[in-house]
Amino acid sequence: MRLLTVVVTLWLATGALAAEAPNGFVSLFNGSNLDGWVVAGNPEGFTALNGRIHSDGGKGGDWIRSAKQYGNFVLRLDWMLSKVGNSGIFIRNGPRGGGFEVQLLAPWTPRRDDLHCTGSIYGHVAANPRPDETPLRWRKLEVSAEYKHITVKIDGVQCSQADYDQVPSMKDLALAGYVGMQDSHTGEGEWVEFRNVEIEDLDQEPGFVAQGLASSDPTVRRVAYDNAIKLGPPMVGPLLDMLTRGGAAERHVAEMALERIAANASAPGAEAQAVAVQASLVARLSAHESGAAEDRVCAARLLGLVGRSDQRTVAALEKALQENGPVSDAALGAMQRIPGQAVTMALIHALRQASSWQQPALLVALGARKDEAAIAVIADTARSGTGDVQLAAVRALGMVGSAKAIPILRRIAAGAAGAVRQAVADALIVLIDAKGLDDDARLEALRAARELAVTDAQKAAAGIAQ
Amino acid sequence: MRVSRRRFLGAAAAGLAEAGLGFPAVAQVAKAISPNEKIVVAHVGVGGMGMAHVQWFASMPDVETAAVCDVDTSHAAAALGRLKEIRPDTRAVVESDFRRLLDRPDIDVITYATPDHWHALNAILSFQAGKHVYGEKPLSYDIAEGQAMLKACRRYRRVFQLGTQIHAGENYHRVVELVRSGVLGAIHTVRLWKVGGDVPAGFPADSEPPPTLDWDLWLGPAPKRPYNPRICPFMFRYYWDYSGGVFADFWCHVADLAFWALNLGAPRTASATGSDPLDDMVTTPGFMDAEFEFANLKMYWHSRVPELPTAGGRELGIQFVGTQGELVADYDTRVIFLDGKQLQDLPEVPVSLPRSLGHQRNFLDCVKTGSQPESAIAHATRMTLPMHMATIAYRLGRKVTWDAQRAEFVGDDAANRTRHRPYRAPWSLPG
Repeated sequence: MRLLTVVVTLWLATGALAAEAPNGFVSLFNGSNLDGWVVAGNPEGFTALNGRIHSDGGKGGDWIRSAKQYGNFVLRLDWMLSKVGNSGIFIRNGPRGGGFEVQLLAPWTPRRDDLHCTGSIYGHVAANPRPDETPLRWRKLEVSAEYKHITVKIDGVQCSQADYDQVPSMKDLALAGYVGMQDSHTGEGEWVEFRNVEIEDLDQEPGFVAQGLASSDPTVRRVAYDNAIKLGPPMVGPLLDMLTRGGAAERHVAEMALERIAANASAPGAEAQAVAVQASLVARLSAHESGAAEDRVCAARLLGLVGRSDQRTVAALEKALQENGPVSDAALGAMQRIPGQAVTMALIHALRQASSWQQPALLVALGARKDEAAIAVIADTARSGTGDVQLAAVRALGMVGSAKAIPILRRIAAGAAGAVRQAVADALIVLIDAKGLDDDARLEALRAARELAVTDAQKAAAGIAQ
Repeated sequence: MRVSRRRFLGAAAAGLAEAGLGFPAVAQVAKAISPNEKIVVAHVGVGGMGMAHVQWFASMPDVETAAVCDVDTSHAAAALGRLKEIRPDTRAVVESDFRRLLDRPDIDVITYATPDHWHALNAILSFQAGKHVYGEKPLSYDIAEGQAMLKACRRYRRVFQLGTQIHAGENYHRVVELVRSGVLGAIHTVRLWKVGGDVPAGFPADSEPPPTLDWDLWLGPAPKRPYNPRICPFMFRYYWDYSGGVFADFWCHVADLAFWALNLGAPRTASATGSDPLDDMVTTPGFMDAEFEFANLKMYWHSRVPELPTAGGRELGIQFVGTQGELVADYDTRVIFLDGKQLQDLPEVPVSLPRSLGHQRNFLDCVKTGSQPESAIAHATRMTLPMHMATIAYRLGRKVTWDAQRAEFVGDDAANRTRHRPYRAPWSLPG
């Protein structure tokens, strides 16, 4: 038992490290009925029994398809044909075609050519080597579809492959659609059976999608882009990785996709997505790595859209403020946007720790948050600060939009001259129109501005005749 | 004595009105320049459209050009050279940082043709310094900027003209008269379009900025990034960090006519779809279609010629659809579709609007008289809001609903966060 646990753990660990999931296959057939399938023709053309899907000739079943569409995948199934049965597997088909068929055939008289035999991509690519077509025995088919590249294997042996760009007749085929099975469309008495129908949807695997985004083929990039956005939160990590190691084109696509994923996660009602995206962004922002910081800049910026004021997020942003350059710029921007008093408190804390050259930016960010909780500390800084720090604090007092700022600004102006006095007047003029102020407070701001106005424009704003 | 609440409010309101607290419908501007005085003008951002500003204003006899300013000294030098051809005796100086212009009390007017992310700061800091402003479109980079510009313009009682020179033309005036006359019936649908969006920028490497360019000042409040020749000069328009693509470039020229003719308020909703550019370093969409719901009509934006029999293949156009008829226009032409006929004009609709003497002339006259110009800040803010709403809807990938009373989106926290893009230090948006 202990040994088994070790083996399983080891297997899981290996699986997690491998580029491909060890077994991302899901069964498309429940073995007992056709739930999850759509019969295109006469429903009686297909039946399910004892783990097999059965189709009789002459019933007009046409074809049976998956409920969902698939773009990139590996499809596996077993099939068996009656003596002169004829069937096939449809790949990326719309309701009325648009995809292609992998042929499944019993030996016919006259013999069909390699372009229309078992394992051929019917009418497009000949089978080579041509598989054995002996009927009445189970065989294994595997079709892998990765963007424009198709591979067909029968009983483990590759028998055809195609690239849409290399096969002229395939160049306009769809890159996504239903998978399905053709009915037995020889006469009465002939039949086809399928079992173990399973599919690995590669578009659900972040690593596969990320590879597509890095493709040099614009069509592939576009498909991968749409898939990345659909996949959402699990893509955030791989996309952030691309920002640090990819070329310019790759970084561009990754950043565009990240913006879309964050935007979708920010939608009303997408709470679970938002939590997942935020967790990935916070993890990245907190990860300390030297060298390129594009991923952390992007993580901080997107937190401005989807971030909440929980403790981990706020702590990560506050820590990022201590760095120089784009990371702290982006973190400060996010902290202006994320609501919640925890963010205000973190900025106040940062302001107290900051050296004087960092303080103006923090003051302006506090002002932009319009949170009254910051008034006291901004006021302290406005009184005690000098130069750019004092000017920024005065501006911030105007931006917060609180009546409490008015007497504070008045006091600062009493001892000030020049640029500070001018800034105080401009801050008071901003307050006249502030949303949160009642008429009395607005009038008070106006009177204060009138007393102080030093420039003609300020006098005009305060209604002083020139 | 007990003062009733109603009475108290009334008294307070009277006090506010007396103090000039409330905004009058048309803000009265303090007159600073007498009719015979010269208006002293300085131009900011003179590389592209700004060169036209220099020439337009220098050709006005009552203008004296005080300075040409650009973060790229080669642009400023070229503009000064052009100015000297028009005004050989000019005493204009060259500046690289527009804040130095604000310290000069002799300058009456600032005009700017900077990238969009600079417009609000250019305008508001100029208002604070007592300058009147002629500013290029679009009005603002985001919603909060537009609101702050409106407040500052009115509060400091300055004249502001949004540079939508098409507004001054005869055709737009006549279209407004025709639409307002009611001959088309009640207008229920408006379509606006301008073809374009794909920009073959490729992915050239970042590089050192040209020695003549102050790249950090060019970026200003926008996020810091290395210089790239496909961003500056000229291509900034195709990046969200600085602008909003062909849509933001042309929206105001086209929407101007609809907002003017129909006196529209804010739309209730906006939604937008399009195509993200993956094959070039630009970030604004290769095409974008938007839809707006107003109280009594629907408005559409297309970046391809709409499939309308009446569009006539115009690459830019405005279509008014009424209960009685239809009118399609572009900058210089119009067609009226009425009773199965196609007409250029309807003589029975009287000429009622005063014609413009020209967009720049109109602005300068207002600087002297203290009245508001033809593309005044209120009109500019109103018609620019839907542009920002559509951009937000596009970037968020969902329909957004606007509450005009509260100036916020309804039930969408993230959308409300995008009303303002935080400025990079040391810049801050007053208001």
